Amino acid sequence: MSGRGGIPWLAITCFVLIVFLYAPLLVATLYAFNSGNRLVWPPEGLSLRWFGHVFGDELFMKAFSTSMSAALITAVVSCSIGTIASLVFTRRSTRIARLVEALGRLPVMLPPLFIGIGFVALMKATTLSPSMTTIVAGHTIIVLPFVILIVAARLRTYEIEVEQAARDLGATPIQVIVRVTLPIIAPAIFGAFLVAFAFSFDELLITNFTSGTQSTVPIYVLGRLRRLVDPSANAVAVILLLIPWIAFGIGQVVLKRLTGSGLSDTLMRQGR
Amino acid sequence: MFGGDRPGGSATSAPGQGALATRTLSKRYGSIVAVDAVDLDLPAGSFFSLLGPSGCGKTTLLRMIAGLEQPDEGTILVDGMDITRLSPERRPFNMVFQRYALFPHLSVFDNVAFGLTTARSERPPRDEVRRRVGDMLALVGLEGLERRWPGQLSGGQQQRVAVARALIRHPRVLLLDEPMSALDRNVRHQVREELLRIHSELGTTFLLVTHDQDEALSISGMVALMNQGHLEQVAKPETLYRRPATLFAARFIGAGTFLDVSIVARSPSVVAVDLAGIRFGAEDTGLTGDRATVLLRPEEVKVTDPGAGRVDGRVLTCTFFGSYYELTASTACGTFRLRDTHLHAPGDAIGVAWPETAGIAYESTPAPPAIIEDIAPPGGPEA
Repeated sequence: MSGRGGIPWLAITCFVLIVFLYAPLLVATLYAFNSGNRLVWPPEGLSLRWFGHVFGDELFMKAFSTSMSAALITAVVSCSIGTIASLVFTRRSTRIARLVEALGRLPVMLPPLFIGIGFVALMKATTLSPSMTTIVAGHTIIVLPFVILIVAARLRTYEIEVEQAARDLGATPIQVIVRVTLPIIAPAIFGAFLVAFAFSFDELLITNFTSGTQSTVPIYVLGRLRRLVDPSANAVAVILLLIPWIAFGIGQVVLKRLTGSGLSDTLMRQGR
Repeated sequence: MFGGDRPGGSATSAPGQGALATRTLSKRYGSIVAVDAVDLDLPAGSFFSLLGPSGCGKTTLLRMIAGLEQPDEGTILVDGMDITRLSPERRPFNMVFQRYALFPHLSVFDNVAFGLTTARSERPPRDEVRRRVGDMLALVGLEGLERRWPGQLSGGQQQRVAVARALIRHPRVLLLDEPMSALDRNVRHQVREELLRIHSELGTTFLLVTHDQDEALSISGMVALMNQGHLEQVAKPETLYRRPATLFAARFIGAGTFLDVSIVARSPSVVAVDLAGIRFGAEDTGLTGDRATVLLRPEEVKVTDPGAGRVDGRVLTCTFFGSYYELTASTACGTFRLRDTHLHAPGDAIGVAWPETAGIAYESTPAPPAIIEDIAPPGGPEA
């Protein structure tokens, strides 16, 4: 882009983009380790006191455990439904299967606000009251299309012949699913699980409508920030940032135990 | 190439001794008849090939036998028992897939052991599994690779794993779906000999699907030639090459010269034919009309000095095949394929000669598209 000896537009564009993307992250992280009470430049010193403060807060711990439960349940539910749905969509090309697949994808394009209001209306019209169930239901609606996208993509590139080979070697249809299909697509399901977990953990918009009196971590942070701004919010942000990374690390170790190779190895070996 | 003993040569086994039979087996895809009322009899212990051009229905036939496709009509019999509706896991056959279809998440050991661990009852004990997997890997020459992953093996090694995996269940028939098409040419030849060795060591019936006639003719005791869903001819390789039953078989197997002639006289098995004034005798295949197409194999046609043969011509191409050269020559009667022991330059004038009685005369049909033009005859340098 830059002409010979002219203004280096490409370099400038890249620099601006990187700063724009990562400046908030950098600042938030920096102030999480600030020893002072206020968000003023420059930070007064390094300390972990705000993390201690956050973990000592009973309300935060309650919100944290609610978020953890919601994220885990959402990930399990959406991966179970999504995997079964993907198996159907990639093997059946009937009109109904295609229609259901398209309908299943639609929520990606729906505004979360709309889904939230929909839940309020639904709860008013029925006897449903805000609970863990409604939180999970709301998250699952949003997350399911991504799960199907990830798992179905894996199934579409996978050689269906290995299932026929398994049948040929005496496996019943159930044995084929348990011993061949699921182990082969496990890394994709695990990836979808992480996406679902991470999404659910910091979802705010729909949760606002479906959680009732329970508070999740994002709702807790928002409520707190309304009252006062101190570095404990930054500490929470850093915790939120670390959670998907920790989940990925645990997954890597678990997969290595199960299959003798990590997530990335498994993906590479099967990509052949 | 055709010599040596051939375990599948015993095509005349009594009924009931066969490993597998099909009766009027048919499969349609919409208006296309993929397999058309096929009656196949596989002698027990034979090395049997299904040979044919792509799209002739051979793979569909194999997959119906394996239970991976459902026939629209007909039956599949094992020992007189109808297994047509049996699901694949209950059939006494195992298959080697074209692209091997090894389980990517299992080690070589677990791939081979898979077939022993699927039974819901009477699963063999660990020691026996270990012993039988070891035996199988020894049979295919892969000892010591038990802990490797399929992705770490060469194509030839993957194929050996696929063969071991299929044989561990002691199938009545081992089904091989174009097992060599994904391999390099030189590896292919090695695998061919390995398969022959395994076949004679185990005595299991092998059913091989291939479009490669060299493969089918060199490896099998019996060949079923398929065309457009039906069996064109079922015969030993020698018969298929020397006495093709139909013009399609004649054109598909080997190479040769095809001459359009008119019939001038008939005797019990030989017709006298006329080719632009040249008269000779050819074997009759039940001709009814007064025109015919005669097949002359290259080894029946000789090169002579110009004027000394039946017809004069000019050399078009001359190809080196090790112990002989194969020529094409254009003459007033058409293009000939013939053999000689020494090199000729394109454009050389030669004479073309063949015996008083030579070749086989078929009912004339329009020549198919030239899919088989350049297939080397069996016995070419690569064989």
